[in-house]
Amino acid sequence: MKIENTKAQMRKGVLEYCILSVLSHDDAYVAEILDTLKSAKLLVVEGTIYPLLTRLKNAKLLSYRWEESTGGPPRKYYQLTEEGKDFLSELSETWTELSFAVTKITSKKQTNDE
Amino acid sequence: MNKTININLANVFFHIDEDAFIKLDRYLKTIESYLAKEESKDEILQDIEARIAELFTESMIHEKQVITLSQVNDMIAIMGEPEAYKIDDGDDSTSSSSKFKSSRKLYRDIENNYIGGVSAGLHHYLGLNLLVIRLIWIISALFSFGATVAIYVILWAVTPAARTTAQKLDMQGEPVNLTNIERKVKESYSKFADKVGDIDYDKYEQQTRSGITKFFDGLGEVLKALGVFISKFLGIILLIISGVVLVGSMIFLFSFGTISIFELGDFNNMDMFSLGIPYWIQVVLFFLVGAIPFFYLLILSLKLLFSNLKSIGRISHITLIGIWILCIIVITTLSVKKQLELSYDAEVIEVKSLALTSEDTLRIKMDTNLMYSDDLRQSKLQKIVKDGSNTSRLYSSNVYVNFRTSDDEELKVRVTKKSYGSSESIARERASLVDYDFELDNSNLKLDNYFLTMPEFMKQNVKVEVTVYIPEDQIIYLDKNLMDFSRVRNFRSSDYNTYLGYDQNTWKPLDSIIKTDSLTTQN
Repeated sequence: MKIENTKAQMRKGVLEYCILSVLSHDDAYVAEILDTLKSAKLLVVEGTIYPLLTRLKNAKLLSYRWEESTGGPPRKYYQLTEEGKDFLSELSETWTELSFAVTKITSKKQTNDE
Repeated sequence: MNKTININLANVFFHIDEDAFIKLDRYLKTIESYLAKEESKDEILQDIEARIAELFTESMIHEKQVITLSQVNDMIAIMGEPEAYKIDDGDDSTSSSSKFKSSRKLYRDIENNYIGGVSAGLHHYLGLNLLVIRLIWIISALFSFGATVAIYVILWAVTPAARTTAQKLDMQGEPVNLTNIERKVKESYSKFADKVGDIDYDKYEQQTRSGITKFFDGLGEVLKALGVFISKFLGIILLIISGVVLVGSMIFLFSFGTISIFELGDFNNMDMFSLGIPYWIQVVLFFLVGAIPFFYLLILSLKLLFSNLKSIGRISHITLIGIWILCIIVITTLSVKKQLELSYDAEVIEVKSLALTSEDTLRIKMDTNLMYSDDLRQSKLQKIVKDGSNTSRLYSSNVYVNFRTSDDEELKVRVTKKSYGSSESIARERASLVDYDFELDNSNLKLDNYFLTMPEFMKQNVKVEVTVYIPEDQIIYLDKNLMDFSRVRNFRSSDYNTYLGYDQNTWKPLDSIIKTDSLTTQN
């Protein structure tokens, strides 16, 4: 089992949640979402996000509109749908529980080890 | 200096270096293969292209700048290797698309060449050891009288050299062998089976339509893969057939051709096929008529096997087809001419009465002149001999003997000399130049088993027919050596070397006519 695979899987699991979170503040186009995710070091390369965004859009959690840009090609601005907002709030709850559980378990383990 | 290509990426126009383009193209194709299972594959790809266009635009300092390989590499560093695009990289990472490579194409490897780089190209294409391939060429060239050298030259001519990076990469793609073809057939079949399977699970009526479409899509893929397989298979068979025929005709050309050029053999007995021109020219004519169609068959088979071969060029086509038509015209003209030359026949007839000096049995036999031949049998072989005055004559044993009863009491011999020519007078003149002899010595009639004539008449089917008219009451004895020359059909072999008498319209052995008093007439 490769450590890289496990790392990538862990990251991808929370990626959907994070994308939705980024969009809950404001509509954004891909580069903006990427900037946020990259600055948090959640994403190293950009490739992963495109299939994810399309999936979320197909699941009707996201919608988008086209906006012209200066110089480059037109940009897709993504926004949360009503369904997306419900989905996000559910995910937030799950995340809180999960992160609490993970922190508790790992910290216990550490104290046991020491 | 670099070649640049214009591309349209998400409706934005870019100049891009050729090597950079190849890299970008491969990158996108690989991503596509990774996303093959994704529902909105095209949309995802569009998004990716848009982002790449954005990255390129950002990295450009001024508008006319060309995208270089390093910019593409920077882009890939940002976007990530194609693997990153795959979301579900669970346990099924071994699925078909994990090692995406385009299928190989045959090119000449001009960087590792001895002669034309054909062997090195085949080495990349077939995956065989380079040294083995070169040895096969050399050994087969030795055994086939150099015929495979011709095949090498053809391959050299029709195979493009791998000059650009794209061609070099294609040259080393996935090996084309039966295992891979089989795998492709299987893959597309399993896709097909999946799609057929989908039909069963489609519960709703409206989905039946798409099920059927999927079915035919799948069927199409299987047929396509089968088509590839069949065309490769056919290509191999045609390659073998045309190769063998070409090698065979090459051997024919070199063996018969050289033998006749140096007059090492006697080709007189092949006058059936002779067109009245030097034999080696005839061999070359027949070789070209036979070999050119098979040469085309060879090219066809190579094109079936290797999809990217170039044409041998218009001039070569015109030359080859021209030569072929010319050869056919020459052969036709010559054979028509030969036919015309022999279209008239004429006979010169001599009749001679012979006085039988004794009442003895008439003994008839063939006689040969030992100066010319010691062979008493009839043979198709004609040859040039020197006669007594040392002039060249044509010797032929094209002599036929017939027996009839004489209506008067005389022994007569009728000699018919038959010849052919382009007009009756020529044929008659030729016939009169035939020298044929026979001799009555007491009661022995000796018929020459040969005739002599002009050497020029070698291939003109001159013949001599001898009819012996025998009085009815004469008892005859036919020597066995007549058998070869006799035209009398109802003579059995037991009728030779025995005494014959004429009874009831046929010649019969005496003991079957009268067994008693006829013995007195016998010698």
